[in-house]
Amino acid sequence: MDCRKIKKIIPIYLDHELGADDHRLVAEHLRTCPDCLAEARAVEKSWEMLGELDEIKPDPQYIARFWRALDAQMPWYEKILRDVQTVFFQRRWVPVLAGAAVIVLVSGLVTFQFLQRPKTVLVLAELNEAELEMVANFDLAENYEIIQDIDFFSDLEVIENLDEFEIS
Amino acid sequence: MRFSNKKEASYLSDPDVQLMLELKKGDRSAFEALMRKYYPRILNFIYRFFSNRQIAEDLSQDVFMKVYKSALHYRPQSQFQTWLYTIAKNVCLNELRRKRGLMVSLDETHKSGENELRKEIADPNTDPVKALLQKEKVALIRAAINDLPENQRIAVILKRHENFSYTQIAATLNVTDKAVKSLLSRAKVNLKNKLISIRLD
Repeated sequence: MDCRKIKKIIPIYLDHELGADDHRLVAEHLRTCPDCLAEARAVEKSWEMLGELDEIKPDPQYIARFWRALDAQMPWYEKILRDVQTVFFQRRWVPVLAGAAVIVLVSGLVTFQFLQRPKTVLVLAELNEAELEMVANFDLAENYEIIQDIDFFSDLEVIENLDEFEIS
Repeated sequence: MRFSNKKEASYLSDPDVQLMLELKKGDRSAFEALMRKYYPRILNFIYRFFSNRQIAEDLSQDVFMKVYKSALHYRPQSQFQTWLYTIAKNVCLNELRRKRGLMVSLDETHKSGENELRKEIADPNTDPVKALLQKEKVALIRAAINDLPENQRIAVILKRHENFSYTQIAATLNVTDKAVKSLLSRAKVNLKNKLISIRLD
């Protein structure tokens, strides 16, 4: 391999990224060629000089600054989604949320029952005393609608005395 | 979580990929762990690319903003570090193209260096001549890097300052290993030609 080709691959040789054969070839060449050796040293020196560039330290508040910037960019619905997701990710809240869900469900059922109750009371409240007595004395509570349509005292008398009528 | 192919599954051993998957589930502390690990490195990567602290801080935040926002649809397609530096590289190149005319010039770098120099010269414990030479040397090194073509510059920073292997650089730049050899070979010769005049002491 001539000097031109060697110089071309010296930077790779210095990084130990050549194949084994090429690496050995360059190493042997550098032992016998002062010109290529000088080139290799110059490349190496300039590479080392890059280490003299300064390094900067981040602002100590960079994480807080990031969250503030994110909040400023994020639409409101995404914030809600994120907060819900965060709460659910914290699994210690799951039993609390499950308990709260049960309480809400039970409270809903109790309220529903409570709201249904006054309607029955109101229907009964519309009956007069005699009707209430009749309702109380009738076993046929399930036929209450039929009873409602009966012209009370006259019809009921007929029903009570059915045995006395001969129906053919 | 199920992964559709072996390639994705192969990256699961990367602890940073695991942190991303935790973030995907909503764990913000996983994201903060990633920030603590990588933010200072990304900040300096960008700082070395632009030689400007303010740009480095703004763009570093942009990089992590992109990471955070992509968490919802994240699927491990590479090592986390490679993915992160690919984002950082793209952010740098986009910024460079957007601000090509406004990018901090070497003159400006010298100006900011002068301010720091005055402080050091005022310090009786600092040898002003030595400080001046050192500052000039750093400015020349910075100028030599800034003069490199974009991909050479990125490859140099990744190799010299981030200790990336050629394979990692290739993955980050989305080029072949052979292309990385070519890039770094030309970059090192360019740097040598520019820096050879500096007295090495």
